[in-house]
Amino acid sequence: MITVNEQEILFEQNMTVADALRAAGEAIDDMTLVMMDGKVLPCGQDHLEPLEDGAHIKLLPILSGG
Amino acid sequence: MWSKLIVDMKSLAVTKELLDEEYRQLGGRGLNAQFMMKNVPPQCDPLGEQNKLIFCTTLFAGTNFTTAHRMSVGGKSPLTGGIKESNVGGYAATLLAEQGVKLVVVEGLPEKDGLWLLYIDSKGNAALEDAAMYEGVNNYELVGKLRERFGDKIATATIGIAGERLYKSASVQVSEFGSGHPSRAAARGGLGALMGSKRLKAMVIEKPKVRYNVEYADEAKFKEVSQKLNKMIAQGAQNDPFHNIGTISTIEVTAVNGCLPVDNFSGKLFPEYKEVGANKFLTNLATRGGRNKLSCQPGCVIQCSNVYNDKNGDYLTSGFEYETIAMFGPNCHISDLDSIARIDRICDDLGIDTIETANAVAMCMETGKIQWGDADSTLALLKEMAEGTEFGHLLGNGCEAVGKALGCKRIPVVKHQAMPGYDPRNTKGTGITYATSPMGADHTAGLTMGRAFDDTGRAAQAYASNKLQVAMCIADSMMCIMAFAHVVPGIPMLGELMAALFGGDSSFSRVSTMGVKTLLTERGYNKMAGMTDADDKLPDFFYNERSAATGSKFDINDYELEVLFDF
Repeated sequence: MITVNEQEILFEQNMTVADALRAAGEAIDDMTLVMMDGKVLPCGQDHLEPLEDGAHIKLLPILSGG
Repeated sequence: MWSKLIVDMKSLAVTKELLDEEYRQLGGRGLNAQFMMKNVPPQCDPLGEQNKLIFCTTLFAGTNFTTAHRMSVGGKSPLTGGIKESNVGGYAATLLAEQGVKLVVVEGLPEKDGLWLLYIDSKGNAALEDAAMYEGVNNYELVGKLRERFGDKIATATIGIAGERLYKSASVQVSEFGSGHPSRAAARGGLGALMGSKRLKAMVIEKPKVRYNVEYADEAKFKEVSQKLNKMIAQGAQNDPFHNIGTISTIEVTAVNGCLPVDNFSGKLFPEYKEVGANKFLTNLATRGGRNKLSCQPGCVIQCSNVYNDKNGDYLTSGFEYETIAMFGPNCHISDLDSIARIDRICDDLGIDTIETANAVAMCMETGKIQWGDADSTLALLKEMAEGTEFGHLLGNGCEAVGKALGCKRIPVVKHQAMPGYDPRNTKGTGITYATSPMGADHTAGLTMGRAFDDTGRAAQAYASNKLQVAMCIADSMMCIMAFAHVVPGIPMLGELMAALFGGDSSFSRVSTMGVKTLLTERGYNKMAGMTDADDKLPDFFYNERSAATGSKFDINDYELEVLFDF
């Protein structure tokens, strides 16, 4: 099982971050950070990073300026 | 009833009066604008007798509404020559509100040499005390001495050497809730120099023995609405990168979309950005005993603040933010986060704006005075500011002063104020905000990145900037802009909140009218101060040079800017 923003998704072999986001019904834009197990993934990419069972994914949209 | 303090530096007397009726339903930036328009001649010398330094709390100060305790610092800006409001977190506004003080006005100039501090004691008495012994003392040491003298149940607003020397980049530093570190900055526009011109070294506010009780038109309704909004903001914060990481997280987006300034707004990308990015930051926090998810003011649910330690695990700085990292980092081609943290600490200690100073350093790099990416030489320049050398004074007066003196052709300022960490060619609505905001180049006045249809296109950019500039006037009058972002789904409730506090109309138009009125008042003030449409422009190079990252130029025409405020 993996989680995307607290939503549990069934883990499948060879699953990528993008697959998990699709399964969770989450679309991301250029202003959204994807954080997996406490690490921020590079923005502006297709998120083909492989997933391991138990991974926690969080989507963090930038809403204001720092 | 709320009070105001009048601090007369000429007679060295402090009087406490009831707050004027006309300011009772105002706060923060809105209060600052109306007070300035009525009481500070627009053409006065910013460092002269007629200018006034203003500290005030927000509309909802003293209540349980989250982030209501930012403190607005205002006056006529020594840097821009226009109206200035710079608001800051930290503990000062909380204690001012607990004291029942909504507004502090520092006016006049002392007739004799010296330095003073304003002390508001636990019984609510306010007086000026001698602070000559603190002359030449910077903020960290100063706050340590103040806590020795007055105890640790205080909040402080202080200036370092930069303010004493009237550097136009001088900030007012406010102590953080809890630690007391003077790391929260009302940084922009040289208000530290205004405080220095008044010879006011510090404002010390003691926690009162008896806390002021806010008067509500309908307390039950206020609590009901504020609890809903607080819950909405707290839920939003759970997936906010500023809460989960810190404002440094912005770099992960701007480094990719071309908004991150690199080598003095060259328009290039910065392939080494991960060295100053979120993961590096989080790793350093985790391995050195640092922390994120901290509140700089009591009750904040965004908790975007942090403590950043050095390699030995010793405290280095706090409130280590995106702007400082972007501007001393990629824009000066420095890719070492620890060096930038050291620079941040020194800036807070001297009491200078990191955005203005980083841009000034970039001028030195662009003209070859020092090399791109040279953190040691940057630290040496800051030392010159501390020592007060001739070049140190020049640096203290900001980016434009340094750029002109060194013959730089590309000086990224608007209304004499240096640009923050967003390239206006790649977020054109933000460029419009930089050009037209009464504050000068200021991202907090209306950052549109990700808000228009296409950040590098022209469509809807003016619309987005206009709406956000009004929205930020509202936010700056009542709360932190980081929390305001999460209120948007429930924004009509802000009208209900005002009605529950003050009575009267509960529609959102009451709130939006306040925002528009604030913006137009500020622009009116600047016009009377001598600013014209020519001041509402970006530097030429943004119109002429393409961003290497995207190929975009700033192609918003003058007409779009001129009609921006035809409400």
